[in-house]
Amino acid sequence: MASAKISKFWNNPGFYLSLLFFTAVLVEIVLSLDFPYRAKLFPLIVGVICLLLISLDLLGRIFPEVAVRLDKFRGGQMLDISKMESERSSGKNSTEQERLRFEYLSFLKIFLWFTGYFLLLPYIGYLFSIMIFLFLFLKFFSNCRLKTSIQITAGVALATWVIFSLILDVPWYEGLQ
Amino acid sequence: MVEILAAFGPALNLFLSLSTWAFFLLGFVLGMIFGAIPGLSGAIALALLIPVSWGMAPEQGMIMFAGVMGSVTFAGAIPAILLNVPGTATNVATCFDGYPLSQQGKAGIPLGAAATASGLGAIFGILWLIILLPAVRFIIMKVGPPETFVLILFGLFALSLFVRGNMIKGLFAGGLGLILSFVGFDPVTGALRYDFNTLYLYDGIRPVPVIIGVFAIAEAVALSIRGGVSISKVKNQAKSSDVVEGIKSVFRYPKTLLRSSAIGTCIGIIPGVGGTVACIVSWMAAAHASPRKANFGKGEIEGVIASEAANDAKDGGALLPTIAFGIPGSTEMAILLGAFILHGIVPGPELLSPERLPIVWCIILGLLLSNILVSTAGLLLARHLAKLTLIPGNIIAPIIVCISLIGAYTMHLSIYDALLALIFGFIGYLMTLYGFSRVTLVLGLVLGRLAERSFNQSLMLSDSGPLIFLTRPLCLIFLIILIFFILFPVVRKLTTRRG
Repeated sequence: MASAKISKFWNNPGFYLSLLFFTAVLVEIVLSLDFPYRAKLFPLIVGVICLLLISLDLLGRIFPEVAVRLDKFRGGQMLDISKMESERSSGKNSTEQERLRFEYLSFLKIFLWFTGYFLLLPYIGYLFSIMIFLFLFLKFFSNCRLKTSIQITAGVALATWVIFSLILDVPWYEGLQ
Repeated sequence: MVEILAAFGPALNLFLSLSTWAFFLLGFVLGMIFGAIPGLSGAIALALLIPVSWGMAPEQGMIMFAGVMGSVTFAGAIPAILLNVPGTATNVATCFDGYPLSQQGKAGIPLGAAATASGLGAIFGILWLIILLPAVRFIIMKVGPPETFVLILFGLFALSLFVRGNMIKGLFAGGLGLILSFVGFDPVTGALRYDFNTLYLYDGIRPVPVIIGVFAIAEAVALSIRGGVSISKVKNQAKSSDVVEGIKSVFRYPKTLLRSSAIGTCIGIIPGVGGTVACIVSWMAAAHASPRKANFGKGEIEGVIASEAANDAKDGGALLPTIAFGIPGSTEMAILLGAFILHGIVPGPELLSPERLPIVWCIILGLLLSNILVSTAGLLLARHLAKLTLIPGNIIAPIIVCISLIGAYTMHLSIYDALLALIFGFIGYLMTLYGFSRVTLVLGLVLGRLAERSFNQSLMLSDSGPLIFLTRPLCLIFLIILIFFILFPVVRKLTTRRG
């Protein structure tokens, strides 16, 4: 292991996701130590197993040789046609592909759009949030024509109002008064 | 058996009411639309409909879900045949022979064959479900807390082993789901855990917002990032004479139909394997058995029949472990389990009790009718449905997000549920991107409380501590199967190396 090559794991966003999971599991284990015996037994067992599993994944991301060995325990590989085909056609391994596939900017944009929509909800209520978010998203993100954006927005707002408000009688969140 | 048949009457009565039909048709139409649009799937349609089912009678809700499950698979065959883009993952093998036939200007033949094979395959799977139910009912009467715990463990392992990708990540995702289920009051001692002094977390993490997040919103994120679909215009029009020829072709190959339906049903029963594996295995089996092997992949109608019969037959098989043991046979069934929880339905002996059996019949009837309807509608409307495949992903994505967040909020009228769905939407997207299984996460979350309760009850029942899991025959059988599954990749590797 000592002589094993270390990958540029800091460039791989998957490493940070695994690190996030590792931290979450660690917090779970530490917190569970204070619970009564029966309440902590099962969470502790599951936590320790999860910590081992995610540690293996992290090791695999740092040491590519470990990842290759771990990849042998791939349950569905026999029928994973799409993966086999994509690897055959591109000639890249999965780690490289992951890094290439992840588009930071697009993800950040989508994150801001969807979070923005969510933040609108408590202030102006559901119906107006849908109208504003959908219209702006279609017009400026999806580059739809003005007429199409208005038509789709109106249609979706009407449909959600009919299904949730009229038929299911769900009280709408009106927003902060 | 008599009790099972006696429950058919009340279910049929309920099925004949107008409101039930309205909900069934809602599910059916949504299933067709989500099946026909590449990138969407039955799982997303189900996740979106869970909040809609809130406030309905459980039977009506289940009929609506059955409407989705029945229609989504065949609808996915339409873009697979016309555009070489499978509407859902379970239609991947339909592309192999369906699209080459379309390129030859014979789109009607595979469409007719797919519709007929889908309907007949589904009927086959459902018939086996009805036949096997009494036997399974007998077995589950012998299931106590230790068996329940081992079965849940078995389900999680089996899903991790069979779903695409790395087993370690699959298992970890299942464990993460279990950890999420520990939040809130402990079912045995009543102690409050992982609440971070937040009132919202006292009740635990609710599965439905998480399901909506990791399936629907995560898919919306993916669709938005991928942008518009670059599918060429529909070139092939289905001629009526070709459609009739396609229907006839199914009856020319009864062996293929029966074999594929049997493969689909059997694979459906195995937890987590799902329709993608069923259709590919069935297609390979048909290619192997056919005297026209060389034609497979170039437009052999038997290939379309094999794929479509198997992926529809799997629903009947997948329902069996879901209903009897609470272990989902496919992704859609994992979400259906979430719906069960919302409606207070507990899979296992309770669901198979005389009072709850009408719910099972409602699902079976809904599935049956949906499959028959979708086959008929598919033959009549295939050309028009194909136009749905031209809707770009970045138009559908914001609509999914709007409906998803309202849906998550609707359940408990809590804005925090919407926030939870959004957070898990992004986590779900990243999980898919980096190979962590979303299905095992959901399964862990849905079954976590039951697993912990069964585990603690088993230890309380036992004089020999954890050895109780080795001394009960059913537990032992499942543990042996589990060990076999775990060791299988290693053994296969060794035998391949020697070979």
